[in-house]
Amino acid sequence: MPSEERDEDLVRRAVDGDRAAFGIIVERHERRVYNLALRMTGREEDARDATQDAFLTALRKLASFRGEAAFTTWMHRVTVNACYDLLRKRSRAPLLSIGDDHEPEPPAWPDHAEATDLSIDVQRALLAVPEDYRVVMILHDVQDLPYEEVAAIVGIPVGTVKSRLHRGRVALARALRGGPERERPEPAGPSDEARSR
Amino acid sequence: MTHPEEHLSGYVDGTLATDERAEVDAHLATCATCREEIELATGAVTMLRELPEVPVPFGTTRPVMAEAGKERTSRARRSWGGRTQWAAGLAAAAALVAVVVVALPRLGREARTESAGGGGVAAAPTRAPSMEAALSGAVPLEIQPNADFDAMKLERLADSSALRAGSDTALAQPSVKDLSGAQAEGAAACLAKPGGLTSEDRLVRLIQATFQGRPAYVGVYLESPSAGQPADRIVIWVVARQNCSILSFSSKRL
Repeated sequence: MPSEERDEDLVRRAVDGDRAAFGIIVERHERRVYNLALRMTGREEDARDATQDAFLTALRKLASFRGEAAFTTWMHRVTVNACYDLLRKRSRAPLLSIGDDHEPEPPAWPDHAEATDLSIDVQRALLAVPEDYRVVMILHDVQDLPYEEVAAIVGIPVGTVKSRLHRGRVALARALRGGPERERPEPAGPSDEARSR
Repeated sequence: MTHPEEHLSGYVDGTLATDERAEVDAHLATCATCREEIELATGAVTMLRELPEVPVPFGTTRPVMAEAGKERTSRARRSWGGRTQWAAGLAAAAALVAVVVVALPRLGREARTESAGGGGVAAAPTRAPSMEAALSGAVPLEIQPNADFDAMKLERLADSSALRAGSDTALAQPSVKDLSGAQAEGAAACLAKPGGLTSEDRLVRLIQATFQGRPAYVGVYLESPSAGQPADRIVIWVVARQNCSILSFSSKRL
């Protein structure tokens, strides 16, 4: 069964020009790639773009995949980069940043039954969380990847993953409450004055 | 007070070693800020875990596979296997295609075409694009605000383009708004941006329309099996105007 073939073997075949092998790779990973992109960008349209960009990049760079990391890790890294690129492009596009600069655009949500009110709220709150925190939350809390793999994907130390994870979660919860996005102040101190700096 | 930041996520996740956990517990006993944060973070994790996995919209990776096919063919002397099932109604194509400009852009001249309306939107409903335009390598940008393409219409466009190119007729009935060369150039660059175009691909039509409601550029290319050989295929790429990402693809053997 080709579907049981290891990713690494499929990559080798794909590099040799086997289109079917590449097709299996895409099929196997598109769900995770798309969902990561959807949570990162908050819009179906952007998620599709990022998914395509990620796979096109993967296709072009497949030969440079050396197998030091698991293919899934590599593919996630490519996807995260595609999302960052897209978000950067979007924030630069003048037409899209008209209006209130801080308010993220409401997600143009697909009409899926799963998209409950709560998940829409959570998605919206996710977009209010800084990207660097958002990405570790999506990878760890939504996609259930271990700290170490998140660290490898994002390219940061495991300790940083853990602290970003915590800060991101707190920021998300506060955004959901509609409260101000506050971060823990560098110097210890619970007062709000110390935070709003 | 220093907060055990690195351990707070592990505390919520339940991944701390016993001694680490005891340390955090001791800290929490004296730190209201961290207690509040633990509570918030726990709630956040519960909600994040409940986010549903969303199915990938149909067709999302199709352009990727089209590209993969292309990569392969450029490697394997461009033998296009299995890409010949482009059946479509030619009659419908006639309704869709208002204009067909089959220009042969690589006949050797560098000159830019003169825009019919000085960069404006000079509607020239009865005027065919000048022969200079056809020969110069510049392809006018056809603005079709009411044309909304989808996969089916692309195939029809490929069919009709193949028909015109096959009969080698440079006919045109433009109901187009011919624009300045700069705009057409921008559109062509946008189409070329995602990669996949090779030097053997010759742009013959450039359309500004929408694809499934999204502002798009549609590029119709003539593709040769290799440099110097006559074109044997029509290839159509659709990219988003917003960021030049690939939206769709179609092709037709001549």
